[in-house]
Amino acid sequence: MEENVIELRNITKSFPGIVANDDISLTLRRGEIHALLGENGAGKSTLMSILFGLNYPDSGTILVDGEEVFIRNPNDATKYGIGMVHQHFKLVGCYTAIENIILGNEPTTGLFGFLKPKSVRAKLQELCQKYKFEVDLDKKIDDMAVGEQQKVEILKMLFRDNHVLIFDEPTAVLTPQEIDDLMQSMKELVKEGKSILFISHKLNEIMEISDRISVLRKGKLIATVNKNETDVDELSYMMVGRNVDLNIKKKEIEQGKTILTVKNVTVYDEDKKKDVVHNVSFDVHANEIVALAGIEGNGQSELVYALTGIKRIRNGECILHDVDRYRYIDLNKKGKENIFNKSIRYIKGNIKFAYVFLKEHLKAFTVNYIYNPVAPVIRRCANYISSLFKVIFFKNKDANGKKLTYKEMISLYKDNHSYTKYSVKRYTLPQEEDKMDRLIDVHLEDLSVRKRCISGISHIPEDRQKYGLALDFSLKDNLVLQRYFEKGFQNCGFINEKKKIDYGKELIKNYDIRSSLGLDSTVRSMSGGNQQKAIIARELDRDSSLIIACQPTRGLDVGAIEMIHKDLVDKRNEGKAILLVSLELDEVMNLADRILVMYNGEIVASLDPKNTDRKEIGLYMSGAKRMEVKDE
Amino acid sequence: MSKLIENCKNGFDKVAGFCHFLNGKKGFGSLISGLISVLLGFLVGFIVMLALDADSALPGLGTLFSYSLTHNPARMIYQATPMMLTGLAIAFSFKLGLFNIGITGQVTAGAFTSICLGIMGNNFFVCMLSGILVGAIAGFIPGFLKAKFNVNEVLSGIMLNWIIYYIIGLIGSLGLDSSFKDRNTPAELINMPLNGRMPSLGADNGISIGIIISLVLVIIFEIILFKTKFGFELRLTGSNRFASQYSGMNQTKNIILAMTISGALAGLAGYMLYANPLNPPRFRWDSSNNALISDGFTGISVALIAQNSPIGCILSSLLLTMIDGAQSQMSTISSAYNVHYTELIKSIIIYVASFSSFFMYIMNYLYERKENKLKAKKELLIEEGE
Repeated sequence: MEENVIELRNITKSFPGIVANDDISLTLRRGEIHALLGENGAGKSTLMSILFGLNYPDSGTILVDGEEVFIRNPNDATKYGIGMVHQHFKLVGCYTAIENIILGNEPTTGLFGFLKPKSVRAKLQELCQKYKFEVDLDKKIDDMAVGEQQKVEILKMLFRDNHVLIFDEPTAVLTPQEIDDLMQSMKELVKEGKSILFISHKLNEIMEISDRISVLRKGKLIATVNKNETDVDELSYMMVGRNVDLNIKKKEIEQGKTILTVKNVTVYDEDKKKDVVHNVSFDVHANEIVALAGIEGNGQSELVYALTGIKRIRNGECILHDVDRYRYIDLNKKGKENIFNKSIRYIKGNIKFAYVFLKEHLKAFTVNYIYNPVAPVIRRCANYISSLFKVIFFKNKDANGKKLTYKEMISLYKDNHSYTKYSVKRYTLPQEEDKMDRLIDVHLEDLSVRKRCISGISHIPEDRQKYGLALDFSLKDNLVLQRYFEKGFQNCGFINEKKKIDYGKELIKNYDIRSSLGLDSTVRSMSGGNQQKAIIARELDRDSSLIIACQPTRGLDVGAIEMIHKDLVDKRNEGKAILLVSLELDEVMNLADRILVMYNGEIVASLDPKNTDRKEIGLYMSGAKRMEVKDE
Repeated sequence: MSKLIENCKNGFDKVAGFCHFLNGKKGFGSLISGLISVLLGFLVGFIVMLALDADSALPGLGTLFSYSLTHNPARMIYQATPMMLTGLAIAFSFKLGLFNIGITGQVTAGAFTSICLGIMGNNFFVCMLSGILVGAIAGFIPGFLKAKFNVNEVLSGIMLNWIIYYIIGLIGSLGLDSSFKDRNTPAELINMPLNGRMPSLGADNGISIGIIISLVLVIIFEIILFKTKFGFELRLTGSNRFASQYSGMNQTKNIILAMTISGALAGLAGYMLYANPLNPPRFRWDSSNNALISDGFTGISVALIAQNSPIGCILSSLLLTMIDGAQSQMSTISSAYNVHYTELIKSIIIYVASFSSFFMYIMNYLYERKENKLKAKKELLIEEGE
């Protein structure tokens, strides 16, 4: 079994300004699993795309079964028996499994070009039996779980009689159970004489399954080692080039007061035309990192968008506690509110109240007159009048029998009628300045993004290039994206350029953001890690009580990950509440003080990372198990 | 061979560096890059001239450049005035990523209203305000639809153009007293009377207070776009809608406001089009001809050549009127250069200009990326050295 199926000799590939692969030689033997290990940007994917015909090498040769070949495109690769499972599957969602498998290679009858489904089906069923795959061939891809979709991809390669299989980060989207399953299938495949190239940056998996391991760093092949002769520490040293400790040491801190309460929140998605988050309730406390774990697409991102105001909440409440009331109010030099703003607030509050009041009575009217025509007229009239004057005649005493003022009655009235939508802006009700508490609870449901942001939410968005940054704007503009409207950054509508520059310089220094032209460089030209650092700097530097971090380390190299983790833990120690959404179980296990697992838009488990393991979380993530999460 | 490639690479880097240098100097840089692209356009135009009639190509080019400047500069300036404003209107909405193609309707509505009010005996100020107001209303409608119901502004703008066109036709043919109309051709309004025209600036050559108003407006809008919070929001929304949503900008307000302002500028342009002190054109609503006023659409070209910079709109509108002015003279130089020909040159210039702003952008991007990589490499070397 020492025969080389694939041999890469001195492959060099450079892109403008960077050498992605520098003189790499690699062999793949028949019947082995060869792992390719490296950080993001180490050149793994480039090498594989060269092998699969998506890129050409600048120099170097590829040998298949000992013969030199030129692979110009994926069709050539298929001809030589090379198949690839991409990290993001290349499947057509509205086609069935069998249609996807034959796509691009449709077996047809000679003259008229009709498809030959029967022979295809027979072959596929045979393959499924051989490798113990359980795939429903007539199921649509959209209806399948991710693990099943991956099996379809593998079947696609097997159907084309590929004997060299490339797996590009296959485990990134799977639960631990599905990963086990995949490992099993891979072992079966190798037994049958296939050869596998397995790309990953997860050391545990690599140690579990591979026979030989090649480590890439910054485009260079560091070493190829046998699994038996190495260990995880050595590999990680080779991969990063220095000793890394991703196990963050957190000091034990008692969790503080509640910062965020989410109660029965339901979010409706307009594109999918269904609820994507159902009845979710949880709390986040100060000095605590709460991690939302789950497989991609189980409602985590929607929940975050709903909390930050980008999506609407359909039902339920979320409350941010202990918000300084003066964050909302522009105070003038004497410490008093601007009279103009004050009167606008007063008028707005009254209009809202009048609206609710009228709407309520209209409802009473319709219920009593239109929907209840059978009742006697007098009773209907009495009903209506009683409900109309309820607030005045029946609710004028509180529980202790103390008489209430009119204003108190109004607020009571609004509390009793669950019009969350309008009672949220309770702080806009005209009230005596000094009688109000300085710290208030703010209902977020109906606030605008801007209001939520100034009341103390920082949001590190999931998609940094779409939401987080304006790519064609300069770094300094992007660093003030959440502050440019504050006094000092703008005066009477005119932007204060000097302050912006000073602030930008400070952030660049504190958070070590690197770019070629400093503050004036366009964000598009910066590297992913530095883009993310800019966002982190912007969001953490604002004094917010709640930080929502959505996959803050996606696609970054180890150094950047280390730093971001450190920043988040520092903020936790400072007394901020952090809600972390992550798909990486390692990250969740490392950082979290409490893990909430989301499955299908619901929270199915609330776990303590000390008393749980990856297996258990995996069961919850795949929906195989669920616990009743009690309302706190 | 490799040396050649090396040389090419070096040259390429230098061009990229130069483009970057231009881009760095904000206003100045875009001015120069605009000039370069216009020259490129003329170059391509010159090649076309050579192909048509090689002998008279050079004098032809000279005429294009100099005829308006030497023979009737005043005409060039007063014709450029409304064009400048339409260009500004388009550029302003472009900054938000909106394409205000309803500009023709806004120009038409503004012009019609102001002329009617002028004929009724109102002074210049009232006429101008009415034009602005009606234009703003016509701009508000597609803006409102876009912001509240996400109706495509191009679609609603084009439809609004025709709605305004036919409404004016209807009013003109049914609702107007005969004293408003020309006696011989009933589908025309009479000229804007003297009381409604813009006050002339001393000399009786057609240059009026309009040019001052336009210049001041251009400067004001340059300041609004690049120095204020509102301008920042507009540019950011135009560049990345999602980021503006994320940072909590009020998109509804911004879209409506930008479209309304754009419409107001167009309405003002409509007034100025028919109210310059020296022989203003007549307003037609002839429906049988089925043609919208084209001045709105010229604004699109003005904004394109100016690369959406307000200051650039001044120069690009002057350029277009310069070519227009030379149109009649061109045919006397060679029979091959007729009206279609100058139009062709004009469109080539616009085409190349819009292309080269893209070119500029790409070069700048490549340059910056290269710099980044170099810097990263240097840092790497330093690290390894340690």
